[in-house]
Amino acid sequence: MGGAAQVFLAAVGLAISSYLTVSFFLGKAPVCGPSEGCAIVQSSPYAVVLSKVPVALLGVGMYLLLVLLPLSERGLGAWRVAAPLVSFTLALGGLGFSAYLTWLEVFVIRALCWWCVASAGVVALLAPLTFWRAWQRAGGGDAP
Amino acid sequence: MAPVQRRRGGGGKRALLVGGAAGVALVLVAALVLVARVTTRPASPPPHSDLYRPVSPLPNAVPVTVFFDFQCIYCARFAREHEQRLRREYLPKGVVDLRLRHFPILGAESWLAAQAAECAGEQGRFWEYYDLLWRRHGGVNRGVFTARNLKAWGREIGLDGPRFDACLDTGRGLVKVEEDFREGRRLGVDATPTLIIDGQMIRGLVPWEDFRRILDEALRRRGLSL
Repeated sequence: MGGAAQVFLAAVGLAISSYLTVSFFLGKAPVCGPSEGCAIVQSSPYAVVLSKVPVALLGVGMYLLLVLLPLSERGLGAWRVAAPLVSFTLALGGLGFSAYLTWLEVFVIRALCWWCVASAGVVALLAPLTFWRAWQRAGGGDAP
Repeated sequence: MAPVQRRRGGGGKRALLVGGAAGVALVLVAALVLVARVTTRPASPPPHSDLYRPVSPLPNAVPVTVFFDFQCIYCARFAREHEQRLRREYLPKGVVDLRLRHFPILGAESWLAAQAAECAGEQGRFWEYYDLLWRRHGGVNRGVFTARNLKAWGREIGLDGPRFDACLDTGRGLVKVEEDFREGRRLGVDATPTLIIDGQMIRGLVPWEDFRRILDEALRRRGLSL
C-alpha cells in the first residue's frame, strides 16, 4: 500500500518535472494560466545549476528513482531494508532543496511557478511517507 | 526484562539507520544549495553604472526611474525617443535624476543582455553598450541577444574582450540585475516599461507630450523649471 502510494506520488512528480524540463529545453514558458510566474521563474538564473543543468532535470532524476526503488524491493537481503532508506534520503533531500527553491521564488525572484509549487507539494507528501516505510522496514517489520 | 532489552536494541538500530539516512539527506541538500549558489552568484559584483549624469543632478531634482527589458519593443521606443530627449533637454540642466532599472521579464535573452550591459559598465562603457543594444533590438528570444553576439558587440565598441567575456561567463553582472529586479517586484512593477516619476507610477509607454506634462508638473512642484 505504502509502496504503491510512493510510486503513484513519484509518478506525478516525474510528470511535472519532465514537463518543466522539456519546456526548458524547448525554450518555451510553461503553461501558467494568466500569471507570468512560470516564465519569470524559468528564465531566471536560478532555473539552472552548474551553468547548464536545469533544476527541473534534478527533479526528473529524483522522482524516477522514487518510482523505481519500491519496485526493486521485492528481492530478499539487505536491499529490502536499504531501498526504503534510500527513498527516504532522496525524498527528504528533495524536500529540503524544494524549500530552498520556494524561498527563492517568494523572496528573491518574487514570482511563483505553480508547477514548482505542485512539485514541492508532492515531495512534501513523499517525505513522511518514505520516512514511515523506512522506519517500518528498519525495525525488521514488513513495510507496507 | 529480556524482551524489553531486545526491543530497545532494535529501536536503537532503527533510529540509527533512519537518522543516518536523514543526515545524508541534509548533507545532500547543503551540497545542492551550495552548488546552486556558487554557480549563480558572482564572486564580486561590478560597481553600479546606471546613472546618466552629464552634470550632477540638483538636490531637489525629480527622480525618474525606468524599469525596462532590452527585448521589450515599447522599451526600445522609449529609449530611442523619450529617453534621448530627456538626455538632451533635461539631464544637462540637472533637474532630473534618471535611474535605470533592469526588469528582464521576457526570457533568457533579456537576462543575458542586462548582464552584458552591466559588464560593459564594469569597464565604464555602460551607456555606449546600452545604446548599442537598443539599436540591435530585434524580437523576443530569437537568438539576437546570445552570449556570442553580446561578446562580439563588446569588442565592436572597444571593450577589453577577455575581461568582458569573463564577466559575462561568470555572471558578475547578475548581482545588479537581480537587485533591480527585486526592487521592481517590491514596488509592484509587473510590466515594461514602467516609469516612476517623482513617486507616480506609469505603466507602459505614454506619448512624449503626456510624459513631458507629468515631468514638468513634477518640476513645478519642486520649484524647478527648464
